[in-house]
Amino acid sequence: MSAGLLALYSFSGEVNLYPLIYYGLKAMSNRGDYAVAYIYGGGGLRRVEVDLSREEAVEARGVAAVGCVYTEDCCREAGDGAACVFGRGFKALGEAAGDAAYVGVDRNGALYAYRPPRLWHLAVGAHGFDFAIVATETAAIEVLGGEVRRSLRGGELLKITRLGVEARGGGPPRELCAMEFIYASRLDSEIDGVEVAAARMKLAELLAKRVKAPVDVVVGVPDTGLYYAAWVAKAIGAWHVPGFVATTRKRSALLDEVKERISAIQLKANVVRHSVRGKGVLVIDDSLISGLTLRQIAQLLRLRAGAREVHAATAAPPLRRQCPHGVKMPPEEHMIFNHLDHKTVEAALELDGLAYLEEEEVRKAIGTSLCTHCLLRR
Amino acid sequence: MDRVLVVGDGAREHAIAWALSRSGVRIYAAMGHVNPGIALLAKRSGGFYRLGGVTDPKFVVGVAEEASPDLVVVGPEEPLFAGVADALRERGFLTLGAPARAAVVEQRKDVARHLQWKYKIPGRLVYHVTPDPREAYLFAKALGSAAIKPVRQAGGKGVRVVYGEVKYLEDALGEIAARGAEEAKSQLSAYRDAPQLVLVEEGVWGVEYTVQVLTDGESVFPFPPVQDNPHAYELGLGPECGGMGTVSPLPFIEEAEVEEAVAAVEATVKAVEREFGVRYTGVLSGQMMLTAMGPVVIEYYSRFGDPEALNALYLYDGDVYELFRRAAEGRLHGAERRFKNEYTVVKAVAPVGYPLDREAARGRRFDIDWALVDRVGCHVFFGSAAPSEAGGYVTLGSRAVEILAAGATVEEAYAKAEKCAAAVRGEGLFYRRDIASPDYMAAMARKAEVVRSVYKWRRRLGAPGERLVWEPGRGLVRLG
Repeated sequence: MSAGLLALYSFSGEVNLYPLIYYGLKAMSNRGDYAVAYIYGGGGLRRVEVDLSREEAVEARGVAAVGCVYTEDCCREAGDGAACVFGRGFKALGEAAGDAAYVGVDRNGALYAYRPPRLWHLAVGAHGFDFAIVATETAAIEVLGGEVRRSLRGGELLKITRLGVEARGGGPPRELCAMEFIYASRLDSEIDGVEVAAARMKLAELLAKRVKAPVDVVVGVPDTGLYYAAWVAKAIGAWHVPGFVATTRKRSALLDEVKERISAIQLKANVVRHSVRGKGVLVIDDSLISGLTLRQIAQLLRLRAGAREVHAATAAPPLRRQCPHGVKMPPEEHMIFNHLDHKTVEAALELDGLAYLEEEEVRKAIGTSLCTHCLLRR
Repeated sequence: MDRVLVVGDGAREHAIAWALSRSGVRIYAAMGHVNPGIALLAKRSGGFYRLGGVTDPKFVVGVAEEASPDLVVVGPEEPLFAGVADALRERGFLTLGAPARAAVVEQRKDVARHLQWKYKIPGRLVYHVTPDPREAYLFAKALGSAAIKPVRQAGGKGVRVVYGEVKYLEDALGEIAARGAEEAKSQLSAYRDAPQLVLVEEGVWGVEYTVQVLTDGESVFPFPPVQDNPHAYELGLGPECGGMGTVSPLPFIEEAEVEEAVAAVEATVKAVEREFGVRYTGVLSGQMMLTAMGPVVIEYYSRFGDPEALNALYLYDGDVYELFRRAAEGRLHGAERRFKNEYTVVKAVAPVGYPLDREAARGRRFDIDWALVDRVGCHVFFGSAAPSEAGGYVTLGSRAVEILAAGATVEEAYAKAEKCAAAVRGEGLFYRRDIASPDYMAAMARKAEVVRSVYKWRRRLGAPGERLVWEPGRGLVRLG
């Protein structure tokens, strides 16, 4: 999963940008819980740590701001300004090179946003005549009350100052990270005009064809699995029921430590017994890495809630390789399909059956050029 | 050979002079600066131009007496507000241009809104006028989404649109609204002909389109709808300006939506006569927005839009001089509405600095590759630019030139306009590449579809134009 990048420009002079930064970054908290921003105001740059858990009465006046939300800090001062960067190959503010997406502001208050030719997304929007907004997710622009203008083109550099907007370079984006569609992005975002929800619906419909076992109910693992589950249920003629109540909304796949991951799964999936007791249950998740989530879920459904059978299906093929482009993921030796065959995986995860889409099916469903490096066999 | 005096020096007036010259008339001009395009048309046709204050009735009447024209066409709004058309008529010149008392529908936004409500003209918005910026701010806040404007037409400056229905950002956006109200008021300190009042009205969202009509006070003659783009910068970002480009006709606006706009403009022509006792002779344009409430009037222009005039005059497939005479003489009824079956795209090329820093935008030299323009087949209209002593042209602070391209499809017109915009060569000029691009046209169509389905659904529920607002504790409020 890539970081959530945000950039704001106020054409009407200095205003308190903090509330906009806060809600813009919070809108991308699906990408991590560490948020930071740099604000250009009063002729200088200022760093602001953003606590996503509550809106504080912070005053941060400025005309331009860039920020980032991720599992770690991804904004830094960079020579002639500050930049928030995700991906590899960032050189300098104003340069259109490398596979890194970035938003930055220089010491004169000029704002830059660069979408690399491949992998990562950025969109641009406006709020009235006053603000330009650039964000990884179109949903973040909407959360700020703005109107999405379009996705930046692959390799396009946007420079925004008080006196103009220059859009330089760019063409049709080359391959995009498949996991952005499958897992990372908000369901209500669009990537290059493709609705993430529409792509997920198609994945779910294909996935439904792979499910052979007759089941009574379909449950999704919060949060990403819920939408898939609804469409799979419709396709196979079973009921989609809420199977879990979440206490927290951490993205467990992002966490390094096994203990942390299991804690996160337990906190986001307390089982609703009434939904599943005595029933044949199909659990839907977006992807499968170590299998920790599914094993936990299967045990919860069976031991705590009395499910009769537990089948599972994931929209993505199992992850098998580390991302060479900078997405944090558990080490390859933690990825279960690198060690065990299908039957053994089912047994180890305590599942009656496990289905998932193949890489070609993912490509077909999403219908745009994709990087699926992490989904390919080693 | 008949003679026409054109008053004004912008790209709109250049287009008016160009269209008239195709009717074979002799062109005379009264302008504030040498518009190279108008100067050339005057010279070629055997006319002349005179420089002076175009808002000064004495100067314009003086030029008219010298030229002895068969028709005078007043292009911009400020001469109309200043009574130039009235002075010309008093001296017996046949004039196309709204009387000052009628042009007030553009000059004073509060008067226009008042007329709309008094005469139940369709497309009206809830509004409030106040001298107190604080009160304006509070009303804007109560509305949620609001447009805050100086009450007098100030060249598009000082307009703020705040989409405040996002409650969690209310305080952050409140600062913008409060500042907008202050600026809207202070914007008017330079004008002596209007009180310093702030107008706050419902902020609406949708697709903009302009309907320009020629009127003799009785009949209206509508031109095809045009879409203008008020954001100064690429991708529809940045401050409001005089318009950076246009497209016409509009595949994403339905005929009935155009008719509704024409009906609103026509009703305004009648309302002006009833209210002020003057006959509206000239151009009245409705700057409309297709919204979830249907077509609404954002504001009126008492003249052709700029750049919208270029599209309209190019698309008219007849004798422009004859058409203008009919309007000025009160014979517009029966004028044949004939338009070319083509699409037009206009791109304005402006100096960097426009519209926020006019000083920085002045004095930039540029040239035009006329061979390229001819090869591609575009029309270049000069705006805020004059011949440079060092050769070529120099910018005067506003949109320097406007380029019109036509084609059998929008794509073709867009491609031609893009090529010709590149023929304008100089340091520090910009234009909006996105206007009329395939992405842009698709986005407009999507937006129109969304608001259309909502307003049609609302109309099925109740009377057109009426809105039912349920307020807990207050009850049901009927608006409209």
